[in-house]
Amino acid sequence: MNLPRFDLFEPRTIGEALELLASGGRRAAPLAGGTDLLVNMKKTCSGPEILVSLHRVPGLDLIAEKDGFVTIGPLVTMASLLGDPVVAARLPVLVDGAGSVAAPLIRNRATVGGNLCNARPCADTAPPLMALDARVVLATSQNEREAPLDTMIKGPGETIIRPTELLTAIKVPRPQGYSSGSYRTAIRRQTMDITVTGVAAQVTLDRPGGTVTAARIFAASVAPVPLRLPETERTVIGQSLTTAVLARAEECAANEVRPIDDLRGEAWYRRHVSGVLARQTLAEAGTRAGEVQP
Amino acid sequence: MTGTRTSKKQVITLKVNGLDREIMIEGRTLLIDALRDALRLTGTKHGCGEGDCGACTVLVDGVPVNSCLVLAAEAVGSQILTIEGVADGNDLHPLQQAFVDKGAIQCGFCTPGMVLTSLAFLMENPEPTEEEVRVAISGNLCRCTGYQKIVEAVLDAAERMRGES
Repeated sequence: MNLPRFDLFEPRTIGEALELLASGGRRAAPLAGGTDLLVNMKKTCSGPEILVSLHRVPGLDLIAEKDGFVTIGPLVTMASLLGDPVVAARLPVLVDGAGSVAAPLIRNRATVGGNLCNARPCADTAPPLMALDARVVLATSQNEREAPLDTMIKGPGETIIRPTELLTAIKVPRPQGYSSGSYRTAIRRQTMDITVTGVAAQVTLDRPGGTVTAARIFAASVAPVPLRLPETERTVIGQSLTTAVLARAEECAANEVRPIDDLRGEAWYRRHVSGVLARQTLAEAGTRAGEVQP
Repeated sequence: MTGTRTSKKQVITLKVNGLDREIMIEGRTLLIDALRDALRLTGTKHGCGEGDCGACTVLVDGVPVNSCLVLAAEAVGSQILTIEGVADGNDLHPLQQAFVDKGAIQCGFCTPGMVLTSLAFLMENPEPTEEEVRVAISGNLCRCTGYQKIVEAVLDAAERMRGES
């Protein structure tokens, strides 16, 4: 399969990349790992007239800890997330998400920025990063703004990112105290498949095995966007994660999701499994939170 | 306009199997097409074209990638290893020899990709478990063998490469 024709630019600085996007407008698009964009361009034999490859821009593929944030560059690959010691120690919910994406070969190319900006309801890094209350930095050649990630995705394939803007960083507040998370998916095959339903939970405890003081829960593939489950969060906040509380959370999550039937799964199944995954991820997040050395 | 621009045909240099190779590409030229069509390195196989099958796997700076999803221009400056560069002249690499000895090849279409993915994996993990091997090759599809003999070959190669047999 051939790609349609386009002009390829390989800027060497972020400023050059932003200028190219500014002058290209709607005719231009950034190229990160290419595992989605290039496939779509091949299949439809259409796409942007100008591709701005970001892979020679230094720094976009780095993970850094600074000022209470773990800052993740948009070109960080799934494989890099899986191999990073800071992410492994502090953001296990994101490790779970990155490990759910496709297969090892794709994870060597697929980027976290691409996964988020594609804005698919099934994107496996979105619920974990939203559960972590991540913020995104959106830059143009003129200015820069920040937004909560959970407001960035508007619908399938739709985001608040303007044509001249680029996602330049994902800022994850470093979890404080006894805080940890978990993401689990229902999927037909372990690799090279798309998540039927996924749930990410990040919980903070007052002490190991103690009361939940904060919780953020997001689900994949049960709505047009990664869906927050605030009712389910309320069932666990102020409670210990006992069997009874987890059972209430399971029931609540199953009621709170808004799945549809599609070729990968039916709504009733997604609803049921959302509850199960909410219970499992809350329990695992609680266990992991108790093991944190704050 | 800023940055290196590749639109109309232009000449680039790719480092393939240790040699600098000059070729003519367009911006849209994929690495697999640069290797197969321009350099006639047809050991790299064209399968699905979507990154699902792994037949087109090559190593870019030691990392296995689907060459059907990498632009040739983006590979400039990187070390590319294809299946043609794995053997030492006529001496097969121990991993290739293990594939032969274990009968891990039937039609052979997935074999270059399997060998390169496994090679990169064994460089990182010289003492893998069977489960780790299965995960490592899970992006490379084989429709003939049922994978068992491939897994056995990779485990056998791991021993050979550690010098234990």
